[in-house]
Amino acid sequence: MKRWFALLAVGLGLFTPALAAADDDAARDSAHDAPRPFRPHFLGDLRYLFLDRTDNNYFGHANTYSYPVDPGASGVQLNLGAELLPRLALLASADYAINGADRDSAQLRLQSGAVLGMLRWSAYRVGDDDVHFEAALQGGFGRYAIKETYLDPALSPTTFEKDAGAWGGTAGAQVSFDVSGFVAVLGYGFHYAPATIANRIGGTVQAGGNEISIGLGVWL
Amino acid sequence: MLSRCSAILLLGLAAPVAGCIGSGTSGGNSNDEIDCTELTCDWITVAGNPVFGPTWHDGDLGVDLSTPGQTVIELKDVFFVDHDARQMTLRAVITRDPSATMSFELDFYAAGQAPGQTFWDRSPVFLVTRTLDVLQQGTFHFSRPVLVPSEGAAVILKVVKDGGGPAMLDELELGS
Repeated sequence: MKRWFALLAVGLGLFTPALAAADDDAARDSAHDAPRPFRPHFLGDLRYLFLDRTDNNYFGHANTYSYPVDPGASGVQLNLGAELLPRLALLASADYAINGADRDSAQLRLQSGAVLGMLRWSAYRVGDDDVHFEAALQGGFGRYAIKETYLDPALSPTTFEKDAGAWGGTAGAQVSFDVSGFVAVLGYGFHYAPATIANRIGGTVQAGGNEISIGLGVWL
Repeated sequence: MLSRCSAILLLGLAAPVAGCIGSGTSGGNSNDEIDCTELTCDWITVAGNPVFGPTWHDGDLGVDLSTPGQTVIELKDVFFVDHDARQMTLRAVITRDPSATMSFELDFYAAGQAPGQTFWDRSPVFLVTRTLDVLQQGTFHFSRPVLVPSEGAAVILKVVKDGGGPAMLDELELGS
């Protein structure tokens, strides 16, 4: 009987380290397969913005009067925020876009701006924290403004200014690609912003419209 | 390194912003006999109460003929650039509501023989009136050829507006 116990003890002594090593491997594998615990991420990007403003004959009138301008304006967009819950991010967004036209010495300019609070949901994300692609839906609400200035220094020193502001909202989508915390992003959004500038013959232009943005940022 | 990249990125983003300003001209040129494209011409009010001031924009000046009733303004011009031109073109930017009628009347004159210091003092001889009705509505470019009669040496251009709706005139030219 004592011999059997001795054999068992030797056997356990031999196999226990191997079993322990196997347990470690299994633990490592399961740790690799299991999702990592969530941690918040800082988000930020700076984008080139193309804004096609909502127009009701304002630009048609301007072109007829020889100011070659269209609803499309270029600008910049800055987004800063944090992914506080898995795939759900809260951001602050600021837009600025400008375009205009010169006719001889006359200068017509239109500027649009917005400060928005945004909620972004990553509907599809593939990859890991280091490298991933994602498609996201987003919406927001905030303050929009539009300003028109007109100056013809050859005729008058007066700068004619009109501006308007209004609360409005946005909805859109974006795709992004993240490598080691650096992100390339392409987005689309529609802005409903009733801040309106009107000319003297009934044409109007609003601060909002369709937006396409492309830029670079971080996801840390 | 990161700040340099950020600066390059910002410059890259700013460049297209700076490049979105269109440039146009009012269209007037040195061959135009009448050019009201930048400055408001010396119109004479014949009837009504035209407003020589803002048109589509507060800063863009022209002639607002929107006051109800008939309005007639005229402009005298002695041809001085290209006496040989037999066909000219009348161009303008017009805003016209359907309830307002508008037409141009061009009275051509030959030089008179009476003594006087100016062309108009020398009793110019009336030749013919060309009438151009404005049929388009809305805001548009108006452009119509005008035949200058033989011996035509001067013109009185009249703008006749009737009715109660908005009507504006800007960027008027008569030239080759």
